[in-house]
Amino acid sequence: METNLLQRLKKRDEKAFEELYNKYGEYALRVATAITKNHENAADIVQETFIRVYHYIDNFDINKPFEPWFYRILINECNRSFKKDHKNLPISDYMDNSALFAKEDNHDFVEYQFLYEAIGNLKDIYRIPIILKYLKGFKEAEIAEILEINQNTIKSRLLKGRQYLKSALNNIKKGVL
Amino acid sequence: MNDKFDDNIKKALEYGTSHVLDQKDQVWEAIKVRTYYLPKGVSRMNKKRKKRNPFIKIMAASTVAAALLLTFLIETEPGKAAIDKIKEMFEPQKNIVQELEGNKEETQVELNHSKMGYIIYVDKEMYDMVKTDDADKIVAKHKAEGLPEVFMEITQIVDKDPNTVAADIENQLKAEFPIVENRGQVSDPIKGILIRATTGHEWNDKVVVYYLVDNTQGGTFLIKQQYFMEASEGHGARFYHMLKEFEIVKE
Repeated sequence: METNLLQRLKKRDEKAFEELYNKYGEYALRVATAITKNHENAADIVQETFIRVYHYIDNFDINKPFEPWFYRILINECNRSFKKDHKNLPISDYMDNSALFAKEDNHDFVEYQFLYEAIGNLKDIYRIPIILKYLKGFKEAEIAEILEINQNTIKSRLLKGRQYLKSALNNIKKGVL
Repeated sequence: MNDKFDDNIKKALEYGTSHVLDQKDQVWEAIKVRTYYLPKGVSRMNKKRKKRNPFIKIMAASTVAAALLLTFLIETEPGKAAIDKIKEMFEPQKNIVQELEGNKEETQVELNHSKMGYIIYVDKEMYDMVKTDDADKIVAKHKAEGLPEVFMEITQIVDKDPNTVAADIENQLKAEFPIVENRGQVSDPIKGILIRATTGHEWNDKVVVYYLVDNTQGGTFLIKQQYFMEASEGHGARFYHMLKEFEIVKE
Protein backbone atom coordinates (compact mmCIF):
# COMPACT_ATOMS: atom_id res chain seq x y z
CA MET A 1 0.00 0.00 0.00
CA GLU A 2 2.83 2.38 0.91
CA THR A 3 4.66 1.39 -2.29
CA ASN A 4 1.60 2.38 -4.26
CA LEU A 5 1.43 5.70 -2.44
CA LEU A 6 5.09 6.41 -3.16
CA GLN A 7 4.75 5.42 -6.79
CA ARG A 8 1.89 7.90 -7.10
CA LEU A 9 4.00 10.53 -5.39
CA LYS A 10 6.80 9.94 -7.89
CA LYS A 11 4.26 10.85 -10.57
CA ARG A 12 3.54 14.05 -8.62
CA ASP A 13 0.05 12.96 -7.67
CA GLU A 14 -1.07 15.74 -5.34
CA LYS A 15 -3.57 13.53 -3.53
CA ALA A 16 -0.76 11.08 -2.78
CA PHE A 17 1.31 13.91 -1.31
CA GLU A 18 -1.57 14.91 0.93
CA GLU A 19 -2.08 11.28 1.99
CA LEU A 20 1.62 11.06 2.80
CA TYR A 21 1.37 14.19 4.92
CA ASN A 22 -1.68 12.85 6.73
CA LYS A 23 0.21 9.66 7.44
CA TYR A 24 3.53 11.11 8.59
CA GLY A 25 2.86 14.76 9.42
CA GLU A 26 1.71 14.30 12.99
CA TYR A 27 4.69 12.33 14.23
CA ALA A 28 7.07 14.44 12.20
CA LEU A 29 5.78 17.46 14.11
CA ARG A 30 6.04 15.66 17.44
CA VAL A 31 9.58 14.43 16.80
CA ALA A 32 10.78 17.82 15.53
CA THR A 33 9.24 19.52 18.56
CA ALA A 34 10.82 17.10 21.02
CA ILE A 35 14.20 17.55 19.35
CA THR A 36 14.19 21.32 18.94
CA LYS A 37 12.06 22.14 22.02
CA ASN A 38 10.51 24.88 19.94
CA HIS A 39 7.20 24.35 18.17
CA GLU A 40 7.73 27.19 15.68
CA ASN A 41 11.03 25.79 14.53
CA ALA A 42 9.42 22.36 14.43
CA ALA A 43 6.71 23.60 12.06
CA ASP A 44 9.35 25.06 9.73
CA ILE A 45 11.40 21.88 9.89
CA VAL A 46 8.43 19.70 8.99
CA GLN A 47 7.53 22.06 6.17
CA GLU A 48 11.05 21.86 4.73
CA THR A 49 11.17 18.10 5.21
CA PHE A 50 8.00 17.48 3.20
CA ILE A 51 9.08 19.89 0.50
CA ARG A 52 12.38 18.01 0.20
CA VAL A 53 10.53 14.72 0.04
CA TYR A 54 8.35 16.14 -2.74
CA HIS A 55 11.32 17.31 -4.74
CA TYR A 56 13.66 14.40 -4.14
CA ILE A 57 11.24 11.48 -4.14
CA ASP A 58 12.67 10.43 -7.51
CA ASN A 59 15.97 9.70 -5.73
CA PHE A 60 14.28 7.40 -3.24
CA ASP A 61 14.50 3.65 -3.91
CA ILE A 62 10.93 2.46 -3.61
CA ASN A 63 12.07 -1.02 -2.54
CA LYS A 64 13.54 0.36 0.67
CA PRO A 65 11.57 1.38 3.76
CA PHE A 66 10.41 4.96 3.51
CA GLU A 67 10.45 6.04 7.15
CA PRO A 68 14.20 5.89 7.81
CA TRP A 69 14.79 7.99 4.66
CA PHE A 70 12.09 10.43 5.71
CA TYR A 71 13.41 10.80 9.25
CA ARG A 72 16.97 11.20 8.04
CA ILE A 73 15.77 14.25 6.11
CA LEU A 74 13.89 15.46 9.19
CA ILE A 75 16.95 15.07 11.45
CA ASN A 76 19.10 16.90 8.89
CA GLU A 77 16.59 19.73 8.90
CA CYS A 78 16.69 19.78 12.72
CA ASN A 79 20.48 20.05 12.58
CA ARG A 80 20.19 22.85 10.04
CA SER A 81 17.81 24.64 12.38
CA PHE A 82 20.16 24.17 15.35
CA LYS A 83 22.99 25.73 13.39
CA LYS A 84 20.82 28.63 12.32
CA ASP A 85 19.30 29.38 15.68
CA HIS A 86 20.78 28.39 19.00
CA LYS A 87 18.18 30.24 21.01
CA ASN A 88 16.01 27.36 22.09
CA LEU A 89 13.13 28.02 24.40
CA PRO A 90 14.15 26.91 27.90
CA ILE A 91 12.37 23.73 28.78
CA SER A 92 10.80 25.22 31.91
CA ASP A 93 9.24 28.04 29.87
CA TYR A 94 8.10 25.53 27.36
CA MET A 95 6.31 23.53 30.03
CA ASP A 96 4.58 26.65 31.30
CA ASN A 97 3.34 27.36 27.82
CA SER A 98 1.82 23.97 27.29
CA ALA A 99 -1.95 24.18 27.59
CA LEU A 100 -2.17 20.48 28.19
CA PHE A 101 0.23 20.51 31.08
CA ALA A 102 -1.50 23.49 32.61
CA LYS A 103 -4.84 21.74 32.64
CA GLU A 104 -3.85 18.37 34.04
CA ASP A 105 -3.09 17.84 37.65
CA ASN A 106 -2.45 14.33 38.78
CA HIS A 107 0.41 12.14 39.77
CA ASP A 108 1.00 10.67 36.31
CA PHE A 109 1.05 14.09 34.79
CA VAL A 110 3.69 15.28 37.27
CA GLU A 111 5.77 12.24 36.42
CA TYR A 112 5.44 12.94 32.69
CA GLN A 113 6.30 16.56 33.22
CA PHE A 114 9.50 15.74 35.09
CA LEU A 115 10.35 13.03 32.62
CA TYR A 116 9.83 15.29 29.64
CA GLU A 117 11.98 17.90 31.31
CA ALA A 118 14.65 15.31 31.95
CA ILE A 119 14.57 14.17 28.33
CA GLY A 120 14.93 17.77 27.23
CA ASN A 121 18.01 18.13 29.40
CA LEU A 122 19.79 15.07 28.00
CA LYS A 123 22.69 15.62 25.63
CA ASP A 124 21.66 15.38 21.97
CA ILE A 125 23.56 12.14 21.48
CA TYR A 126 21.25 10.45 24.00
CA ARG A 127 18.15 12.56 23.53
CA ILE A 128 17.65 12.08 19.80
CA PRO A 129 17.86 8.26 19.86
CA ILE A 130 15.52 8.25 22.87
CA ILE A 131 12.99 10.39 20.99
CA LEU A 132 13.20 8.23 17.88
CA LYS A 133 12.81 5.05 19.89
CA TYR A 134 10.12 6.01 22.34
CA LEU A 135 8.11 8.60 20.48
CA LYS A 136 8.28 7.12 17.01
CA GLY A 137 8.89 3.49 17.90
CA PHE A 138 11.93 2.96 15.71
CA LYS A 139 14.10 -0.11 16.27
CA GLU A 140 17.81 0.28 17.04
CA ALA A 141 18.79 -0.71 13.51
CA GLU A 142 16.46 1.91 12.05
CA ILE A 143 17.77 4.61 14.39
CA ALA A 144 21.30 3.64 13.36
CA GLU A 145 20.31 4.05 9.71
CA ILE A 146 18.58 7.40 10.28
CA LEU A 147 21.44 8.87 12.28
CA GLU A 148 24.09 7.07 10.21
CA ILE A 149 25.73 5.75 13.34
CA ASN A 150 26.80 2.21 14.22
CA GLN A 151 23.98 0.15 15.73
CA ASN A 152 26.02 -0.85 18.79
CA THR A 153 26.68 2.81 19.49
CA ILE A 154 22.96 3.49 19.31
CA LYS A 155 22.27 0.60 21.64
CA SER A 156 24.76 1.91 24.14
CA ARG A 157 23.43 5.49 23.89
CA LEU A 158 19.86 4.34 24.42
CA LEU A 159 20.92 2.39 27.47
CA LYS A 160 22.90 5.27 28.92
CA GLY A 161 20.21 7.78 28.05
CA ARG A 162 17.65 5.69 29.84
CA GLN A 163 19.92 5.39 32.90
CA TYR A 164 20.47 9.15 32.94
CA LEU A 165 16.75 9.68 32.72
CA LYS A 166 16.07 7.41 35.66
CA SER A 167 18.68 9.06 37.75
CA ALA A 168 17.62 12.58 36.70
CA LEU A 169 14.00 11.78 37.46
CA ASN A 170 14.92 10.53 40.93
CA ASN A 171 16.97 13.66 41.58
CA ILE A 172 14.18 15.94 40.42
CA LYS A 173 11.67 14.11 42.57
CA LYS A 174 13.91 14.25 45.61
CA GLY A 175 14.44 17.95 45.14
CA VAL A 176 10.83 18.85 44.52
CA LEU A 177 8.52 16.36 46.18
CA MET B 1 13.83 -3.88 31.43
CA ASN B 2 11.44 -1.74 33.31
CA ASP B 3 8.37 -1.73 31.04
CA LYS B 4 6.53 0.80 33.18
CA PHE B 5 9.42 3.25 32.93
CA ASP B 6 9.66 2.73 29.15
CA ASP B 7 5.96 3.30 28.88
CA ASN B 8 6.29 6.51 30.90
CA ILE B 9 9.02 7.82 28.61
CA LYS B 10 6.73 7.28 25.64
CA LYS B 11 3.79 8.93 27.39
CA ALA B 12 5.90 11.86 28.55
CA LEU B 13 7.04 12.49 24.97
CA GLU B 14 3.48 12.23 23.71
CA TYR B 15 2.18 14.62 26.36
CA GLY B 16 5.02 17.03 25.84
CA THR B 17 4.44 17.26 22.11
CA SER B 18 0.66 17.00 21.88
CA HIS B 19 0.08 20.76 21.62
CA VAL B 20 1.87 20.92 18.25
CA LEU B 21 -0.88 18.96 16.57
CA ASP B 22 -2.86 22.19 16.37
CA GLN B 23 -0.29 23.27 13.80
CA LYS B 24 -0.77 20.29 11.52
CA ASP B 25 -3.28 21.91 9.14
CA GLN B 26 -1.40 25.17 9.05
CA VAL B 27 1.85 23.42 8.15
CA TRP B 28 0.10 21.51 5.39
CA GLU B 29 -1.27 24.73 3.92
CA ALA B 30 2.25 26.17 3.83
CA ILE B 31 3.65 23.03 2.22
CA LYS B 32 0.88 22.97 -0.36
CA VAL B 33 1.42 26.57 -1.36
CA ARG B 34 5.16 26.06 -1.68
CA THR B 35 4.99 22.91 -3.78
CA TYR B 36 1.91 23.64 -5.81
CA TYR B 37 3.21 25.96 -8.48
CA LEU B 38 6.63 24.41 -8.95
CA PRO B 39 6.65 22.15 -12.00
CA LYS B 40 7.60 18.51 -11.68
CA GLY B 41 11.25 17.88 -10.87
CA VAL B 42 12.06 21.46 -10.01
CA SER B 43 13.09 22.29 -6.50
CA ARG B 44 13.66 25.55 -4.76
CA MET B 45 16.88 24.12 -3.38
CA ASN B 46 18.47 23.10 -6.67
CA LYS B 47 17.32 26.09 -8.67
CA LYS B 48 19.09 28.41 -6.26
CA ARG B 49 22.34 26.71 -7.02
CA LYS B 50 21.99 27.41 -10.72
CA LYS B 51 24.30 29.99 -12.23
CA ARG B 52 22.61 33.04 -13.56
CA ASN B 53 22.86 33.30 -17.31
CA PRO B 54 21.95 36.72 -18.68
CA PHE B 55 21.44 35.42 -22.19
CA ILE B 56 17.97 34.12 -22.35
CA LYS B 57 16.47 32.37 -25.26
CA ILE B 58 12.88 33.19 -24.72
CA MET B 59 12.02 35.49 -27.59
CA ALA B 60 10.67 32.79 -29.88
CA ALA B 61 8.74 31.24 -27.03
CA SER B 62 7.19 34.58 -26.07
CA THR B 63 6.08 35.26 -29.62
CA VAL B 64 4.42 31.90 -29.99
CA ALA B 65 2.81 32.28 -26.55
CA ALA B 66 1.34 35.62 -27.57
CA ALA B 67 0.01 34.11 -30.79
CA LEU B 68 -1.51 31.25 -28.83
CA LEU B 69 -3.17 33.60 -26.48
CA LEU B 70 -4.63 35.65 -29.31
CA THR B 71 -6.15 32.52 -30.78
CA PHE B 72 -8.16 32.21 -27.62
CA LEU B 73 -8.99 35.80 -27.08
CA ILE B 74 -12.39 35.94 -28.61
CA GLU B 75 -15.02 38.47 -27.90
CA THR B 76 -16.20 38.41 -24.34
CA GLU B 77 -19.67 39.09 -23.08
CA PRO B 78 -19.78 42.45 -21.37
CA GLY B 79 -20.52 42.05 -17.68
CA LYS B 80 -23.62 43.91 -16.65
CA ALA B 81 -23.67 43.31 -12.92
CA ALA B 82 -24.33 46.48 -11.01
CA ILE B 83 -21.09 47.70 -9.50
CA ASP B 84 -22.81 49.11 -6.47
CA LYS B 85 -24.34 45.75 -5.72
CA ILE B 86 -20.96 44.08 -6.04
CA LYS B 87 -19.48 46.59 -3.65
CA GLU B 88 -22.19 45.77 -1.18
CA MET B 89 -21.48 42.05 -1.47
CA PHE B 90 -17.70 42.20 -1.25
CA GLU B 91 -15.38 44.26 0.90
CA PRO B 92 -13.57 46.84 -1.24
CA GLN B 93 -10.30 46.07 0.52
CA LYS B 94 -9.08 43.33 2.79
CA ASN B 95 -5.93 41.86 4.26
CA ILE B 96 -4.83 38.38 3.36
CA VAL B 97 -1.93 36.37 4.77
CA GLN B 98 0.34 34.94 2.10
CA GLU B 99 3.07 32.34 2.46
CA LEU B 100 5.93 33.74 0.39
CA GLU B 101 9.25 31.89 0.16
CA GLY B 102 8.51 30.22 3.44
CA ASN B 103 7.54 33.40 5.29
CA LYS B 104 4.12 34.71 6.15
CA GLU B 105 3.28 38.12 4.81
CA GLU B 106 0.16 40.14 5.38
CA THR B 107 -0.93 41.94 2.23
CA GLN B 108 -3.71 44.39 1.52
CA VAL B 109 -5.69 43.51 -1.60
CA GLU B 110 -8.32 45.50 -3.47
CA LEU B 111 -11.56 44.36 -4.98
CA ASN B 112 -11.68 44.34 -8.73
CA HIS B 113 -14.93 43.73 -10.55
CA SER B 114 -14.72 42.69 -14.18
CA LYS B 115 -17.34 43.22 -16.84
CA MET B 116 -16.72 39.57 -17.74
CA GLY B 117 -18.66 38.66 -14.62
CA TYR B 118 -16.16 37.83 -11.92
CA ILE B 119 -14.43 39.53 -9.04
CA ILE B 120 -10.85 39.17 -7.89
CA TYR B 121 -8.79 40.84 -5.19
CA VAL B 122 -5.57 42.35 -6.52
CA ASP B 123 -2.36 43.16 -4.68
CA LYS B 124 -2.09 46.75 -5.95
CA GLU B 125 1.26 47.32 -4.32
CA MET B 126 2.89 44.76 -6.58
CA TYR B 127 0.68 44.73 -9.66
CA ASP B 128 -1.25 46.96 -12.04
CA MET B 129 -4.59 45.93 -13.46
CA VAL B 130 -4.66 46.65 -17.18
CA LYS B 131 -8.07 46.21 -18.80
CA THR B 132 -8.72 45.93 -22.52
CA ASP B 133 -11.90 44.97 -24.36
CA ASP B 134 -11.04 41.29 -24.27
CA ALA B 135 -8.78 40.78 -21.31
CA ASP B 136 -7.95 41.78 -17.77
CA LYS B 137 -4.22 41.64 -17.22
CA ILE B 138 -2.63 41.85 -13.79
CA VAL B 139 0.92 42.92 -14.57
CA ALA B 140 3.92 43.04 -12.22
CA LYS B 141 5.00 46.62 -11.57
CA HIS B 142 8.66 45.71 -11.38
CA LYS B 143 9.93 44.48 -14.70
CA ALA B 144 13.26 42.72 -14.98
CA GLU B 145 15.17 43.20 -18.18
CA GLY B 146 15.75 40.05 -20.19
CA LEU B 147 13.30 37.96 -18.21
CA PRO B 148 9.84 36.73 -19.20
CA GLU B 149 7.08 39.23 -18.53
CA VAL B 150 5.26 38.47 -15.29
CA PHE B 151 1.48 38.66 -15.42
CA MET B 152 -1.82 36.94 -14.83
CA GLU B 153 -4.33 37.42 -17.60
CA ILE B 154 -8.00 36.56 -17.49
CA THR B 155 -10.05 36.18 -20.65
CA GLN B 156 -13.27 34.43 -21.45
CA ILE B 157 -14.20 31.96 -24.17
CA VAL B 158 -17.96 32.03 -24.30
CA ASP B 159 -18.64 29.08 -26.60
CA LYS B 160 -16.24 26.35 -25.47
CA ASP B 161 -16.31 24.37 -22.25
CA PRO B 162 -13.11 23.86 -20.20
CA ASN B 163 -12.49 20.32 -21.49
CA THR B 164 -12.54 21.46 -25.10
CA VAL B 165 -10.32 24.42 -24.36
CA ALA B 166 -7.94 22.20 -22.34
CA ALA B 167 -7.30 19.90 -25.27
CA ASP B 168 -6.52 22.85 -27.55
CA ILE B 169 -4.25 24.55 -25.03
CA GLU B 170 -2.36 21.38 -24.21
CA ASN B 171 -1.67 20.63 -27.87
CA GLN B 172 -0.49 24.12 -28.57
CA LEU B 173 1.71 24.24 -25.50
CA LYS B 174 3.32 20.95 -26.51
CA ALA B 175 4.35 22.54 -29.76
CA GLU B 176 6.09 25.33 -27.93
CA PHE B 177 7.33 24.04 -24.58
CA PRO B 178 9.47 20.98 -23.90
CA ILE B 179 7.75 20.36 -20.56
CA VAL B 180 3.96 20.35 -20.43
CA GLU B 181 1.84 18.91 -17.63
CA ASN B 182 -1.92 18.61 -17.73
CA ARG B 183 -2.83 18.10 -14.10
CA GLY B 184 -6.52 17.73 -14.87
CA GLN B 185 -9.18 18.97 -12.51
CA VAL B 186 -7.96 20.73 -9.39
CA SER B 187 -9.86 22.45 -6.62
CA ASP B 188 -7.14 24.65 -5.22
CA PRO B 189 -6.63 27.60 -5.53
CA ILE B 190 -9.64 27.48 -7.83
CA LYS B 191 -11.87 24.79 -9.27
CA GLY B 192 -10.78 24.15 -12.84
CA ILE B 193 -8.40 22.35 -15.16
CA LEU B 194 -4.73 23.09 -14.56
CA ILE B 195 -2.14 22.94 -17.33
CA ARG B 196 1.39 24.15 -16.85
CA ALA B 197 4.38 24.37 -19.10
CA THR B 198 7.97 25.46 -18.78
CA THR B 199 10.90 25.97 -21.07
CA GLY B 200 13.22 24.17 -18.64
CA HIS B 201 14.54 24.02 -15.12
CA GLU B 202 16.94 26.96 -15.07
CA TRP B 203 16.23 29.88 -12.75
CA ASN B 204 15.21 32.09 -15.69
CA ASP B 205 13.12 29.58 -17.64
CA LYS B 206 9.62 30.67 -18.49
CA VAL B 207 6.71 29.13 -16.61
CA VAL B 208 3.17 29.33 -17.96
CA VAL B 209 0.23 28.13 -15.90
CA TYR B 210 -3.31 27.93 -17.24
CA TYR B 211 -6.45 27.48 -15.19
CA LEU B 212 -9.58 26.75 -17.21
CA VAL B 213 -12.62 27.58 -15.17
CA ASP B 214 -16.21 26.82 -16.08
CA ASN B 215 -18.01 30.15 -16.47
CA THR B 216 -21.32 28.39 -15.61
CA GLN B 217 -22.82 29.47 -18.94
CA GLY B 218 -21.24 26.93 -21.25
CA GLY B 219 -18.00 28.86 -21.64
CA THR B 220 -14.62 29.08 -19.98
CA PHE B 221 -12.64 31.62 -18.04
CA LEU B 222 -9.11 31.26 -19.34
CA ILE B 223 -6.64 32.33 -16.68
CA LYS B 224 -3.04 32.46 -17.76
CA GLN B 225 -0.16 33.09 -15.40
CA GLN B 226 3.33 33.71 -16.64
CA TYR B 227 6.52 34.17 -14.68
CA PHE B 228 10.02 32.73 -14.61
CA MET B 229 11.23 29.80 -12.59
CA GLU B 230 12.89 31.70 -9.78
CA ALA B 231 9.74 33.78 -9.30
CA SER B 232 7.69 30.65 -8.59
CA GLU B 233 7.63 31.24 -4.86
CA GLY B 234 7.18 35.00 -5.22
CA HIS B 235 4.91 35.93 -8.10
CA GLY B 236 3.67 32.35 -8.40
CA ALA B 237 2.59 32.42 -4.76
CA ARG B 238 0.99 35.85 -5.10
CA PHE B 239 -1.01 34.75 -8.15
CA TYR B 240 -2.05 31.64 -6.26
CA HIS B 241 -3.39 33.72 -3.39
CA MET B 242 -5.13 36.19 -5.71
CA LEU B 243 -6.82 33.32 -7.51
CA LYS B 244 -8.11 31.97 -4.23
CA GLU B 245 -10.25 35.11 -4.11
CA PHE B 246 -11.61 34.70 -7.66
CA GLU B 247 -15.40 34.43 -7.75
CA ILE B 248 -17.89 34.36 -10.58
CA VAL B 249 -20.56 36.98 -10.03
CA LYS B 250 -23.96 36.17 -11.37
CA GLU B 251 -26.10 39.08 -12.42
